[in-house]
Amino acid sequence: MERAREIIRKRWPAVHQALEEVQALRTSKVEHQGAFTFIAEGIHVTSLYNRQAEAKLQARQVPESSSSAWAYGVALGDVQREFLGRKALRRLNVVIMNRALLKSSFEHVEHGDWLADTRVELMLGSSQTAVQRPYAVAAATLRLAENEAVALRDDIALDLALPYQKRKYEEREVQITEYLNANMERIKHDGDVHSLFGTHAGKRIAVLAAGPTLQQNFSWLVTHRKDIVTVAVSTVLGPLQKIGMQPDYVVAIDAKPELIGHLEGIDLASLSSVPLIYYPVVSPDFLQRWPGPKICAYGSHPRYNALKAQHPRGDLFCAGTVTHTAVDLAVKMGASDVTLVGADFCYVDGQSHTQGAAFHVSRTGPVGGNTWVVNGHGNRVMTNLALVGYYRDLERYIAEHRQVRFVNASRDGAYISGTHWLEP
Amino acid sequence: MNLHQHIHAVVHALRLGRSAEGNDALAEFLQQLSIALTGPLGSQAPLLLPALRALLQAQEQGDFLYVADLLEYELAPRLQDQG
Repeated sequence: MERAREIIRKRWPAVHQALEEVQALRTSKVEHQGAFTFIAEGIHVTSLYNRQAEAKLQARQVPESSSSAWAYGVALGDVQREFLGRKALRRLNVVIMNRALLKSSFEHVEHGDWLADTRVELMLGSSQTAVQRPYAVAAATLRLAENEAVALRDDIALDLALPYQKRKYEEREVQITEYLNANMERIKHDGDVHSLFGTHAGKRIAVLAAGPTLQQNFSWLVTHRKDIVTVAVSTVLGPLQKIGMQPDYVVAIDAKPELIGHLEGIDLASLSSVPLIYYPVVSPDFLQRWPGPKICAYGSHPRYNALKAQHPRGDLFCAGTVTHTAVDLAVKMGASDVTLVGADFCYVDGQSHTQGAAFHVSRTGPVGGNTWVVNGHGNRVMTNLALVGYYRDLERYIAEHRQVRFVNASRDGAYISGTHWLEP
Repeated sequence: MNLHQHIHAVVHALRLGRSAEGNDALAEFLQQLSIALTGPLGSQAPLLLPALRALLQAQEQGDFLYVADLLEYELAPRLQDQG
């Protein structure tokens, strides 16, 4: 351990200083038939049975001929040694995803061998936010990333998930095309979202998303109802009706048959004056049942290109969630203040949605991507990778719309960079 | 896809940090395995159960590399033995 620390102190004083700021994690060594690894926070940091085979698999994500590579996470140094065994490699950028974990690792294995290699450059995950290529990941270090490296962790995790995500989207293309064709006549006659742009210039618009904290702010919504414009995602029609609230606008964009479930148990007659803003890939059954005016919008996907030429409609942003579209509607309607209510992107109190929302479930264990975000109190809250993607895309959107004041109504959901807290 | 192919897909995804893909593939594998355990592999269930219990516990904890280990080094060889 001392040799590794000394090398870091001499070669990378700033990294050494950052390591001195943290305590090593409590870990336990585990062994199996002569092989070993260690467990940190209940997680095996490498394969127990065959670390070397696992490291080879991880390193193979970078072509053998690459002269440089990025290695995210250290674990036991096996991935680093795999890379440094390559003759073609001239530079290895090693990124520490958890300083405390690295210090723990020093207690289990010697890292001085690879740290002393002059091709190595060592850096902190907290100093970066975007994944660099080509790269390999010590997989457990993503799960064990420290809070300071979470932005980088999310970028890596989302990049790793992208090919699979694309395959899943392609599987849905048949359904999407079917709905688009079925809605073609409707699109010709329904309203154009462009007609709404600028109609609420300078106003405060509350975007009502389906996260668990929506219900925390029902009192605020009722109290301020006359002063705000409300744009709700269709998922929350049930909870809003229970408190006697009618949104000013409702947004629905998903090409899923189960979207019709958002209207189950709803008093549709009371929504007869509420405009629905929709993408033309929404279920025809849902559109048929909506009692109020229907206003069509397009997204940026190439599937809308032919439609844009024949039947021009305004665009609304979406990077995977209807919450994005609702936010963009609010911005394009001219809001000076967009207040995000229920935009949690995590399982607050183990709940997937606000009580009474369509498809609400209680989540009590790891689900999906099994990851976490940091909330407004600085605490970790479980979530899934899809929600992390939506949340990071919203942050980018907010950063690109500095002319609008974005407010987050709850600290219990994911901390959204660029937002202010709702004043009580 | 047979059970070994399922295992390979899960292990590959989990060891590379592709957790969503790995978890989906794991769900498919467990579904296929449960069908097999009510049929041709039924008599071998007692041999597989200890590793399965450990796997489900590891999955619950998000200990995905250990899930991969149990699949690759405990379950797969026992499934191989069954033919």
